[in-house]
Amino acid sequence: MMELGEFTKHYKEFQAANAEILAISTDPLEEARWIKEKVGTPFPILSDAKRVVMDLYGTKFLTTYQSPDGGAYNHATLILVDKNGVVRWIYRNADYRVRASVADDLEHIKELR
Amino acid sequence: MLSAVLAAVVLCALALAADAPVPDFKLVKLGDGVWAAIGSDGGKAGANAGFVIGEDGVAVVDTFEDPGAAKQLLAEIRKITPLPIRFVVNTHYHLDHVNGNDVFAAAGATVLAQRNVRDWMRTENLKWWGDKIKPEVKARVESLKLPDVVYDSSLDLYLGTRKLEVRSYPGHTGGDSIVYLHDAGVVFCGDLFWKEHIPNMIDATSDAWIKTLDELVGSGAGKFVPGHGEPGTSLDVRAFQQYLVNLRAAVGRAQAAGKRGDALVEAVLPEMQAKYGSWGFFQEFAKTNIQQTGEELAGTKRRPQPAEGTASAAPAVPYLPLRVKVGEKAPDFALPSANGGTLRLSALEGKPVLLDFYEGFW
Repeated sequence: MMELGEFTKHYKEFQAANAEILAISTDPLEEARWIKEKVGTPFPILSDAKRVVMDLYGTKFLTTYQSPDGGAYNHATLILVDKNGVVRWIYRNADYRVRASVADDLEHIKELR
Repeated sequence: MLSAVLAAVVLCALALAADAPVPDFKLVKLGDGVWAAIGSDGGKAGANAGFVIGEDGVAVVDTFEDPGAAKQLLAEIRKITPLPIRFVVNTHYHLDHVNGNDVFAAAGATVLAQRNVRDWMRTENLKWWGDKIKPEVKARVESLKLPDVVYDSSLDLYLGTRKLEVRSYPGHTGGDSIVYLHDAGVVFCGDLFWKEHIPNMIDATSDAWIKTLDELVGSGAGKFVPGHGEPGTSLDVRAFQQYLVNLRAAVGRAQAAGKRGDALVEAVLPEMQAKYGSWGFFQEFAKTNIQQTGEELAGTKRRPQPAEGTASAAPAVPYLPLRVKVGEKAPDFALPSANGGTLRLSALEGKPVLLDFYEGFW
């Protein structure tokens, strides 16, 4: 929850840029609620337990690790959508532990007009 | 006056030290019958090697960059034991670890290596010179003594009752092995471990390499012989692993900020210089490490491939292409929210939205 924590810490800066964050994972809703409480995220945490959005966006992680329900995990992916609903920036790394910094995220948001 | 004499004596001593030839390698005893041969940076040996003496023979790990240095190593072994040289294990195909194979084969050794080493030894080793390769060098590479016995993932060798566990791990070339002496707590790591030296990453897959280093530390051995640098402990292996982690993170950040090519090197080099400028081979490899890791993360890196019909390689990236593209409309969706109710992406039109696909403790 490293990244969720970073987003929470810097949420004011996202708000200042009039941006919203949607965190999406395959956790069931109860788990999403638990994480929301634990991290204290001011932005929505969405539960994609049925992997509908994973299939729609193609974020499936090709790994032998399986989630507790036996299904696939998401590969860590950031997708920036502008105010008209158009994808403007994507960040993925072969090593899911390597993440873009919040400063980079904000820079890409500010580049949108 | 006295100080002037002393100064002159010191200067003389320094001059003598500078004139004395640097030995190509030195032997370090790591346990009963377990020796590392540590090559000097810039010396003819070109890399580290080692040997293990059992009850009925000797196994040599790697054979240096120069046949002359390999002959010296053979002579040193002969001073320590009269037992026959039975095996050579090549930890990988790079020339600085295999060019003395013929010296030990002539002394009676059987050469063993992971399957890809045999496939790559006489071909991939030509790339160090490019088009400027001299005919005699090309002829030498193309006649290198190949492994006589190959394996895919592992092999146990016995010198009498002494067991050498040879295990293949990914990361540095895709055809690397370690030799583990359980009875002595020693691992010969080849170039999977560089002690306080910047590694050669021309063939590397760094994410797999980082995981391999977890396994090496997990072996529980106490002494780790690197391919370059002095023997170390698990802490030194961890420090090397951290180099790879830091390099990947720094390159990933710079790429996310749009840096490519020379700008990528310029963005990352100062950070690496601050942390690792004192390591050996910084001048030689730090820049190419950044370029090659950049290519790796961008999915454009060229690596040697196993020959047809041999071991399957892991996919370069652990994901398929996304189904959305920059410039296209993001597909709408609705999902249950931890805030309660259902949230629809299109309900947020009018403001930028950062979708963060995450799992667990990332």
